[in-house]
Amino acid sequence: MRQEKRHKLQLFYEILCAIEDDIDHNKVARPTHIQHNCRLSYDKMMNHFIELGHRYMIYRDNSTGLISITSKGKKFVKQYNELINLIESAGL
Amino acid sequence: MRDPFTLFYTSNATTTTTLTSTIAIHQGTHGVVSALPPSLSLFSLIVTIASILLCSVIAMYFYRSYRFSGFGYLLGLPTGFAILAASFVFEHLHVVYSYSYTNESLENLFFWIQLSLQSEGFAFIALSYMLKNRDGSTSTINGLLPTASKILFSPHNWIHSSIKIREIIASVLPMILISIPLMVTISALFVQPILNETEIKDMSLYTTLFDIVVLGYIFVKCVKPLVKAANIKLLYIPAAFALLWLEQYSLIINYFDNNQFAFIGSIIIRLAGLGLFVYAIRYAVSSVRNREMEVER
Repeated sequence: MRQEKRHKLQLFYEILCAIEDDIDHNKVARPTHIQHNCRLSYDKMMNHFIELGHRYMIYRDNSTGLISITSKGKKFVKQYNELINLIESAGL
Repeated sequence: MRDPFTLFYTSNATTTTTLTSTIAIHQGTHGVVSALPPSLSLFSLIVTIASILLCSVIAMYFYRSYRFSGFGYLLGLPTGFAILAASFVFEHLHVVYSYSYTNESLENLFFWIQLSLQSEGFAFIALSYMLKNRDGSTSTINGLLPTASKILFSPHNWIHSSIKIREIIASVLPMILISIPLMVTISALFVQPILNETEIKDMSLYTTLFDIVVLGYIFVKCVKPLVKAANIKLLYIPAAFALLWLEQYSLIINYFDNNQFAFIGSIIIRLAGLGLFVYAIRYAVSSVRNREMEVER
């Protein structure tokens, strides 16, 4: 089934949620798990990781490849949830 | 140079009250008008401040959402509510000056500005709902439809005429929506630069009818996705728009009936509508926070 095109904000949100979810379950977040959860190609996901890293929302350990979410990333997830709730409640 | 306020000079000083001044207490005849009663002044001031505060809160929340997401269509809501807040200032000034015999031209000027701003505010709010699905619905459908220029100039594409006409209407409609309130109010000046009370009352009827249509459109567009999603908990905002619609309906009753209860009722309904809107926003935002707290536990 063809997936609907996702907005960049939504992609960031899904990636950050996947990271949080992976950390909750496995203590660490691995790129392959995140790729699987977000249904993204590896190249695209790496591009998003770079952008999220530039925005200080995630931290990537270059030696192990493991990823962690920063407080700014957590704030983004919270704000995105609020935005979606607000938009939905206004029927927009 | 002519004083701009003379544009709104009223030809008949002894005419009865305007729409919002139905609660006025006129004493005697031939233009002897009482000063604004302190209780009424205080009531008007409190209502105005409350309305402005509520509108500002709504505008702030939606502006923050726009800043965060960058979705252009969200900008209509904060703009609309900010304009509405400004219109309430002029409404208060109109009520204050409606008791002043010497400043009757100012009274009409403030009423004229209030009507223009209120309609424009609702038009901007409707714009958000009109443009929300614009990307997916108008420019191209699955990339098969031609662009706007081809629609207009290529006769080979006329076979899709119904879809094309719909596209053209969809692209022009937002501009029409925004310009109607301005056109109606400014055209009144072109017809007769010296507005009297009867004319301005007629204009108030037209703008109120426009507001009713626009709010009806907003209500339908707002309630549809929520009903589809069977999300009854989120019906507060459609209910708030329904209350604002009821406010305009009360003003129509007031126009024909000069019923002071309809006017006071419209003010109370408006405050209830705006209050419900703020509550709905707080509810939407706080539900996220509550969920987070539950997860943390």
